[in-house]
Amino acid sequence: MTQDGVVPAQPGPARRPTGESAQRDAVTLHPADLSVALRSAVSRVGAAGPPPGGLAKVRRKARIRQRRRAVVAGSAGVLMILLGVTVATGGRFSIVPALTGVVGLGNGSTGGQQSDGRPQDPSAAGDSSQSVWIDPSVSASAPRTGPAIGPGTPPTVAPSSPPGVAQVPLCSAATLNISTTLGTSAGDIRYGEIDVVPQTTCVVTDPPVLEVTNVAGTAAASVQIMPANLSAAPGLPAVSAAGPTSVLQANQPYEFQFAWVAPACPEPTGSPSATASAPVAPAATAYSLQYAVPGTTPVPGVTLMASCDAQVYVTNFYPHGAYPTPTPAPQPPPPPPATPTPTGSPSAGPPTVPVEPTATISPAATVAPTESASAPQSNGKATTVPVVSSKAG
Amino acid sequence: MATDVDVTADLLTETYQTHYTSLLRLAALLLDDLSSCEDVVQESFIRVHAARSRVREPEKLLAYLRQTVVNLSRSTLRRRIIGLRLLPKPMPDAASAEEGAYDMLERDALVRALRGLQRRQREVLVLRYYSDMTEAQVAAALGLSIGSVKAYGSRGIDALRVRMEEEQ
Repeated sequence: MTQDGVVPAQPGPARRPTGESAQRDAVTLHPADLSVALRSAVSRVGAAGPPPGGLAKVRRKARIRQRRRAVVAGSAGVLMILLGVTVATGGRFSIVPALTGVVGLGNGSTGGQQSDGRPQDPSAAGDSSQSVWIDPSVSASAPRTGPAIGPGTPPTVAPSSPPGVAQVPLCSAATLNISTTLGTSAGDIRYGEIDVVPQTTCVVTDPPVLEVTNVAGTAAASVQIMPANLSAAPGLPAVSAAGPTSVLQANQPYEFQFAWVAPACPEPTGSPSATASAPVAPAATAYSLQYAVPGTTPVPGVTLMASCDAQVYVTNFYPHGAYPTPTPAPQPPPPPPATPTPTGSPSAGPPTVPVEPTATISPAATVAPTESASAPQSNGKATTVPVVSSKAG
Repeated sequence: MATDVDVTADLLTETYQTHYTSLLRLAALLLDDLSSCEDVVQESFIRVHAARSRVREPEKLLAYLRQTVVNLSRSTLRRRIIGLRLLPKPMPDAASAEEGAYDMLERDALVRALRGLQRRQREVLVLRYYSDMTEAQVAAALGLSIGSVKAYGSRGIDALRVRMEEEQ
């Protein structure tokens, strides 16, 4: 022990490093002797030296860690290359199908996108939900059906655009003021138009994506959506499209038209005993049609009726007023009315396809057409809220 | 012909056998249980071994290991700070060869007082007076200025003295 009572400078077996001596020493702690005191305190720790096999364990774990790091670095490199390719191709190459293909999710086509950035033809997926992307290069006689991105999901990815519009964001329900209006009827055809006023300059797919739903979830099978066809829907204007997308300028009104073609159901061939009474036809079903844009804001829609299959023809976007709205075609003489039935009993008489007056429709989620009472559903209830069923565009 | 990596590996082997104990003791002064100390030291060697190709100055290998031990000890304490406050300290599952040494360490008034210091003060004192590092080396290891190292050291010794007196 030193003169002032701190621990001796030479630690060794003769000195007791713990207990009273350490306490006594530490009270008079001097910086110069703290080193000795600390070494004395831990002198018995690790006295046996390194554990046997410790170095081998260190080497083995280091090797494993190096290998893992190499794998991570390689994966990051591949990811960076794919991202680089995506950037270099201007968004025409999507990394998602490549990755899902690598990890075995999907077959590289379902949910994927074409080289132009739009979803591939997903007709292989059998689902009641349906989104249809119309390719202008495809003739109108070849409708394309199937989920494009996901069930009930409007397109959320901006399709490829010309270089000039690459920086314009995709329009969403929050940035568009949308109003849907039903127009005139001409036979089995019901025309309508959808007006949009973007709050900010944004880009939309052209032709626009429509969504058709019904309660029974059969819209995917019974409704086809196609580009405007003047022979099938002569009232629609021939609007030319500059490309797969259109840039909508802020606060400028735009619109597009659609035609709902719901022909009468074909006569059943095996019923020769048609009597004087009205033929028994399937009940008309209410469909909700709306413009499908990304976003959570409800988009106004309209309710349309069809007894059997229906087709929707849609034009491209054009500035408001550039084309006239369809004028009513000469109506054929109305068929003789069937046996009158009380309108309050949906199951009593033959269903009639109602002809709605021209009307501006409230949002589709709350549309319950008054004609629904005479257009009974399978459960006998009027249509209230369209559940997930079909999308088209 | 031996490559740099081989040389570093040999140096690591030598460093492991020579300095394992001192590094374990360094960790024992910074942490509060011996199993964590062993883990920290082993992890330090693993990290240095895995990154041995990047070791450019072999003479600084020990300094690098010391700094890694300090950083890992700090991380260990941070991770366990809530557990240490809320849960009783679990007893080791099996008797260790170091158990007796650890018990003695726990009873040592100096070590108990050291653990009551602020983390920075404890790290400065241990590196400065146990590892015999200069103030500049301590400052570099802890990422502090030399003035801060001096201040932490001075206040740390004062606080250590007060705690020792309280324990008496």
